[in-house]
Amino acid sequence: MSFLAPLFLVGLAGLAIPVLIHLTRHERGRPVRFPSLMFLDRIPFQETSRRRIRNWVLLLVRLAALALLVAAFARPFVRGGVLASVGGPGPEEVVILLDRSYSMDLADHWEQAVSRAREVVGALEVPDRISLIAFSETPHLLQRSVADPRPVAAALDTLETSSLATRYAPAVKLAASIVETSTLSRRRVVMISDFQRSGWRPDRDAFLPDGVTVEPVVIGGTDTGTDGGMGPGDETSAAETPGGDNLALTGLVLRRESAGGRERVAVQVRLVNAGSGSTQADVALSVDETVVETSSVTAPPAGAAPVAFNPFTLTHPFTRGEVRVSDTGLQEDNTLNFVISPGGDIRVLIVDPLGIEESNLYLRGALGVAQGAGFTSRVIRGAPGSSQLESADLVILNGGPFPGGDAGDRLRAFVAGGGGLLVVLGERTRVPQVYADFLPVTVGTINDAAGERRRLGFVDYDHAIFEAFRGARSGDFSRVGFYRTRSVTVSGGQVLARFDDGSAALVEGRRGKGRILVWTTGLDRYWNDFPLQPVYLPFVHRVAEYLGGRGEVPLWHRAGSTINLADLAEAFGAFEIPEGAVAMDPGGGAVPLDPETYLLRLDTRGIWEIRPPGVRSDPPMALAVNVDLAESDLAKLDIEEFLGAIGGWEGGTGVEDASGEDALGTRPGVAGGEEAVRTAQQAKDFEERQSFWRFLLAAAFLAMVSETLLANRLSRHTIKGEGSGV
Amino acid sequence: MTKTSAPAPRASFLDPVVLARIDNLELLARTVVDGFLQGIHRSPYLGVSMDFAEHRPYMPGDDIRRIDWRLYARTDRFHIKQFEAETNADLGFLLDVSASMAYGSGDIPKLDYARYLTACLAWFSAAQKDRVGLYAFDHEVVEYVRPSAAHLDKVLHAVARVKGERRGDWDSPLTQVANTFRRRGILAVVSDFYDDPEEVAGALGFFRAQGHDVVAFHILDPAEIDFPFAHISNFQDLETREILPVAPEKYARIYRDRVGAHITRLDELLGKQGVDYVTLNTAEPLDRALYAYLVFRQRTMKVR
Repeated sequence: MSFLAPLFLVGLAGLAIPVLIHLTRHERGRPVRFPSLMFLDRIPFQETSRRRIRNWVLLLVRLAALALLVAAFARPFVRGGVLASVGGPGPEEVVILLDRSYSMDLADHWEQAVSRAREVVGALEVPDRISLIAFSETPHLLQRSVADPRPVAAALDTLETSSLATRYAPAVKLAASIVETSTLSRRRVVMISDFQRSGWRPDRDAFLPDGVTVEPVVIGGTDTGTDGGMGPGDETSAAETPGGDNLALTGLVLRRESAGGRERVAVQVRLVNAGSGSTQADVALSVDETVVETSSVTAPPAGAAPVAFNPFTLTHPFTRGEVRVSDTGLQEDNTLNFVISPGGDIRVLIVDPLGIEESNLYLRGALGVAQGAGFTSRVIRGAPGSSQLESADLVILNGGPFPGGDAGDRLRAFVAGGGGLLVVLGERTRVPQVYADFLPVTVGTINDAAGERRRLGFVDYDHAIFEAFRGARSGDFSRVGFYRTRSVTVSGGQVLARFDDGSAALVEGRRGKGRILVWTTGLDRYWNDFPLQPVYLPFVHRVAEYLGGRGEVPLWHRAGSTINLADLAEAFGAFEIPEGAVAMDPGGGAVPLDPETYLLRLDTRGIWEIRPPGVRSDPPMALAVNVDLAESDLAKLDIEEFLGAIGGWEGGTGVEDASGEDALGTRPGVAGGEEAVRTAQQAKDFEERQSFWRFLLAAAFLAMVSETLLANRLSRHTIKGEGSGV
Repeated sequence: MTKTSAPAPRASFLDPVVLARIDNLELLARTVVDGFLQGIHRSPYLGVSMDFAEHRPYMPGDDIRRIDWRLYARTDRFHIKQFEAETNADLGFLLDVSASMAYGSGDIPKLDYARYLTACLAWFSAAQKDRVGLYAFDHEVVEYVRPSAAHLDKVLHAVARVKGERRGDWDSPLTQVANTFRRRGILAVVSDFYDDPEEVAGALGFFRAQGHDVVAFHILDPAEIDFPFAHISNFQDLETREILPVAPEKYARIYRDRVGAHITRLDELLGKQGVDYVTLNTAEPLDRALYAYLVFRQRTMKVR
């Protein structure tokens, strides 16, 4: 017999109170004042007799009532023996966390997991309640705290694995929110998963409340593989990886090249072998659902082998490609999908005040150096004509005055229609007053750097132009020296780069569908040494691509990501999402699009289509979605460590593998503080289940009632006796 | 013609509860006595040793013994002979103000009842031309007013201010009374007589032996007579502060028997000593006390 609140036992000292009162009390309530006791002096109670305990039964009943009351508050419980089962185990709140990440597709893991979930559901008793959470990257609450297990069983019948990776923390948080609000005496979380190490990132908020028992059910063995775990890209890991052999495709690279006026694309992937032996596999490339090439590759054990395919001709936008490897392991990581569209050259019209090729040597040289789809440039003198603008994607005013009159209007219309304009300020740059509002800046005087050359002090790396330079060793703009600049006053534009004196270097403005960039210094060697720096070439390319309308279009998206279709369509160029369009997932299901945000969550691997309403002959916009290859790493978690992190470690006996056997054995060693906490929690569980205090309280109440009845009866009896004795 | 000698019907101004609302004892006494005398249709003046004053027509309620029959023979009309009352007796009140007199189970404590009674008798006697004095005592004399025809106000004031707070005793205060009340007169003792009847009778018999007329008013609260308590309680003596646990429902009958025996014994012993003994219940109007005193006074005057 133990007590949850033993301090209340101090109250047993109160047992002495009735005895003391009985022995020491001389008066009975407030005395009745009376003129004289001369006629009463012969009939008082005998005090001496009151000093003796005459009614032992009454005293014992009173003492028992007090003792029962104290014992009830002390919350007694029994750890072992027959009494330990008194009151029954009590109702239980059970939460099933079922891992449905795509790694559960390995072998018969999913079937095992569902089977174990059914066993948990089948073992429920009438007062129990159950919740079902299927989780991968995000948890989905399929049933919440229902008493009827049938809907849970029905949900298990229809549940399938997803294309997403495992994330334990969100699932644990959701389970915690359920058990926290539960009023049942016992709470248990059954986590059925293959417990991949890649799915757990320590999260302080992912913590189950005290008193919750966690029952991990490990699918696919419990070897943690701490030495052998490897990711698809980890080619140096050599030890055995749990979960058997598995091949995965990663590292998709597309290389564009022009041949005979047509754009060709060469595909290269990397085949990763996570197994312990060398594996030969056929890797096939399909374009628009037609296999164009198959390559037999031998992947070294715990290594990777490159697979290169011959270029294929890109004929139409949204061409769909697929690289597939034949593998008996995980299926989801055997396929890489991609969507690619013909790029084409960006047509650049350089307007030079002198109209000579030499003055644009570096600029034209930069534009001429491009892999695959690149740039075609031509230099003209004076204002561009209509035909020249129609055949251009981008106009660069390289140091000359802004054209006035009709030419200026045409240029303004060109930008408003979606064309790009780069204004490079030079010594002769003049802007007519009527176009002062057209440019995002007001051009000022020429500034010569005094002493030290100016440097770029601020670059907006979040902008599409500079994003590629964000990383380390991705381009150093600080080495560029500027001797002369034109001062500008920014009006209605966004400064993308500033010199170290705070003046604007690159300013962007949007007019209609087009964009304008103003570069406040030259793009040749006269005003700076920019053309001599390594970042000049990529900078020119990024600016030309940005203004020419060729955005960054990803070849594929990761499953589980959410994209903004509007931004994506803009990156495609002139492509617009038609009104009423719907997204079709790879399974053919329609996903309605929100016309306000055009946000789309891609949670299924394969090719997604954005279909306009009605029948169209041109290919619809398509998106490729591939799984998160982190899920291909089948290395196991250290379950003790994991349970300790989420606050559900209950000792070795609670962890089972799919066969139902103890998977952890005895606990290797626990700090004294943790042991104390665990013991206290167990004591609380015992006490809550047994709830002896209820019985004790009821018994105390009965004892009090008995005391009242007995005391009244004895009182009447005493009066009769005394009356007759006078 | 009817002789009215019985007590008057209960009048509201004789009810102790009503009297408790009157703060002025003189007003209270005059109201009570006038009302009482009017109720019994008797003249306020008593006595035989008096000088003739005048005749007046007979009015119903007048004592027919006072009709001047000689005048009736001459005039054929009833006339009453009026005299100047002249008794000159000393009347001393022995008012018990011990703590037991402060007891009251209802609205009127015994001491208040005793106040009203003393005030009424004093006013009545002063109107009779008696000389009134006061001895208020517990275990000693706490208020003393020498008997005098002009001391009615002092007596009333002293009666009004006494409090029943201390232990009571008979020996010491009665010794003081005996040393100061030497002229033959009347002693009216107002007390609850919580003492041995033999001692009370012995003390009052001493005054009788000195030639005083003594009347004893025994004031009792209804609870002292009926003992209506039901539950087992601790009873505390108001004078000694002693506490005794008592089971009233079993001892009430015994108590009542003992109180009855005490009263009977007092009546018997005081009767032997020639002391008039009157028991008064504080729940009853004052008229019975006044009437008893009236009878006593008439008798004592005849004796003289």
